[in-house]
Amino acid sequence: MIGFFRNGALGLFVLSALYVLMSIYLRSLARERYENDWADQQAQQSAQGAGTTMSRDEFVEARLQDYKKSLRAKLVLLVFIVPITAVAAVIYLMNYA
Amino acid sequence: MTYVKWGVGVVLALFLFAFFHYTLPQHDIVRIVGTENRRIDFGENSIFWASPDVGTSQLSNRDVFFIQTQLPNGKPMVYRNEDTGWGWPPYFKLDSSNLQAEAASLVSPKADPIWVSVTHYGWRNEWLTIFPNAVGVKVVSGPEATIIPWANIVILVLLLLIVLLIRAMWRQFKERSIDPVLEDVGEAWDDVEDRADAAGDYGRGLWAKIKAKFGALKR
Repeated sequence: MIGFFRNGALGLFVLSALYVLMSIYLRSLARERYENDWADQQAQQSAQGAGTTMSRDEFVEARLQDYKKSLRAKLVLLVFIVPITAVAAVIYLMNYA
Repeated sequence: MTYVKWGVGVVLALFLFAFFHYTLPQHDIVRIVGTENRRIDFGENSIFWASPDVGTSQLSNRDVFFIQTQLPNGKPMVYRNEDTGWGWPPYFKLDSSNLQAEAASLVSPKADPIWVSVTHYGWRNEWLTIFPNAVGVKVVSGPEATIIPWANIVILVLLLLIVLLIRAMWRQFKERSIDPVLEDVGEAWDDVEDRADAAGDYGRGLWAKIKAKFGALKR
């Protein structure tokens, strides 16, 4: 029984590390996307004639605040749910089916 | 030098292939001939054995279940039947006693065979006395039945996706965090070189003027 708890704790630790890495990666992708959006917006505005524009940092930070609340950021929790479900499925299929 | 890199790559690839060939499940279609229980003292081949039944204690010798079978071509094949428990490989096999009972119920004579598909992992090697670990048995229609290794397909595809994901993550990190720093370092170094060149030019010009002054004085 102790083996289950030990390996379970180790597994949860590894999954937490993966969760952190995945959220950093996805946020980095989002940041790059918003920086490109800002560049596009600048190009558009200079083509149409100047309007009031936010600085790049303000623009990107504002978009990132919305991103943090969005569904996509929450999907990273799947990093916890999917492996645990897979292990449970393997245990069931191996021993009870 | 390229031979060394190539050699290391080949060795690594072979090692990975051997690792997956040992650990991933395979299927054999066999006729079960008998089951038994043997006392094994683990010696130098101990890494090829699994764990004691979940909940029992670890010793340097214990009883191990065996399932004796015969392949369709007449050759014998012997499997062990051990719990992997919570350890490696992650089969979470906890029911070796049940599996032994199942196997015993499927023993059949040559004249009236019951062909079963034994799912197993590991290698059979007579020189090391190691046996594959049977993980499940299922009755099949005959020795020619086709079995599609779904588990292997799923696992290998997942591994490929994980490798691609790691590659993408590394590239993103490199592009956004490492390359800009390297560029700054490169530019700073170029500045240092430019200033050193300018200082050198100034020094040379000064020396030329001094030499000219002395030359004029000498004459």
